[in-house]
Amino acid sequence: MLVGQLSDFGNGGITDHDQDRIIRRVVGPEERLADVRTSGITAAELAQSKTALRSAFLEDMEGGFMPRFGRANLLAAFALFDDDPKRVNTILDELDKVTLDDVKAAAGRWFVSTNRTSIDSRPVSKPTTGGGQ
Amino acid sequence: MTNTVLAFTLLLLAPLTVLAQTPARFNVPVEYFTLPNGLKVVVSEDRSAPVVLVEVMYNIGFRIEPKGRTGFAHLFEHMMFQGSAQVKKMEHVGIMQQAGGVVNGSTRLDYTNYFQALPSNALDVALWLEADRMKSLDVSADNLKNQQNVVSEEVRVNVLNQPHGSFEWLDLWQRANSNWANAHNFYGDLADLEAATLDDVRCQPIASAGVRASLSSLVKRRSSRCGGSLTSDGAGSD
Repeated sequence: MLVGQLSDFGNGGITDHDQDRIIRRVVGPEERLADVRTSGITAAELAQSKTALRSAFLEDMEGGFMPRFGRANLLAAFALFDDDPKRVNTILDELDKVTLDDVKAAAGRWFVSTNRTSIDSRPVSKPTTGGGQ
Repeated sequence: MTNTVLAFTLLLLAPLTVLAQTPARFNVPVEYFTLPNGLKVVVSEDRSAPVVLVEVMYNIGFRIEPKGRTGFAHLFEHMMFQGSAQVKKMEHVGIMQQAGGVVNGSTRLDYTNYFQALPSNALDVALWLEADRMKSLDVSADNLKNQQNVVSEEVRVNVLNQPHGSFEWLDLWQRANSNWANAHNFYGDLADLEAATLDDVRCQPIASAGVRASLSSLVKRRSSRCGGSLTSDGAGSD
């Protein structure tokens, strides 16, 4: 749901307060993404992101759904889709190569409003028969 | 036509023998080879604990479900626990549990995986179990009907009768994407699940992959009977 379509929520008893809340929730991240598109992120933010991804990767390689599942699953995926399971040992190098310019370029390409879907899901006052919404 | 559709991952973990220093960079051993029947095998040895993880990954996922066959990738995942030539219904799970292991499977956008973590001395049993269902899955009317009901109930519990359950399965993907591959109901429309036939399941590429492996052939020949079924080359109707 695009920002421009938020007026669709004006029906069905949604209050002005709800409307404001929805718009804040959607527009807030949008403004932040606009910053990334135009200014990129800082070197410190990039370093922090890389550390977080590295940490998550290593943790996954140790475990996951069950002991060593993360490693086995990535090896299988690299074998199946890339015919190169040894990528498991170089993917962190690929992560390290990401630059500030890469982030900015990716944001400019992908973090655009037409690529975003936002749904405000709420309970109905009377359940429909047979469950569901 | 499809290329190899199977990746087989074997993660071998034997008793601790060496207390390794912290490596300067992440590096795990990777041994990779292809069997004469086309099965890709990856072995990664790890001696930090006497545990082995065996996973079989198939090139079958939600995205290749044709119209009218929503939920079939997941339905087939369930069928893989219903027994094979040498293994009774759910016996795969029972044998693994009795050996001290845990077992499960999952269906994703582009693959289905089956995996078990178990004491390393039971490795042969896990390989045998995976091999048996790969080549001789018991696709019977009773098993299909049973799993149609099980999966339909799973849809009701997790989606239809779950507060906001539709968000992940019926709302977000459908609004974010416009192409069938990424915007259909992955868990499955109940009417589609109910309409599944034995031929649909028999023609599922996992089933034919087992046949193909046993014939040492990498080329999947789609019979006319299987024309409307899932294909692992992404040729599902758009």
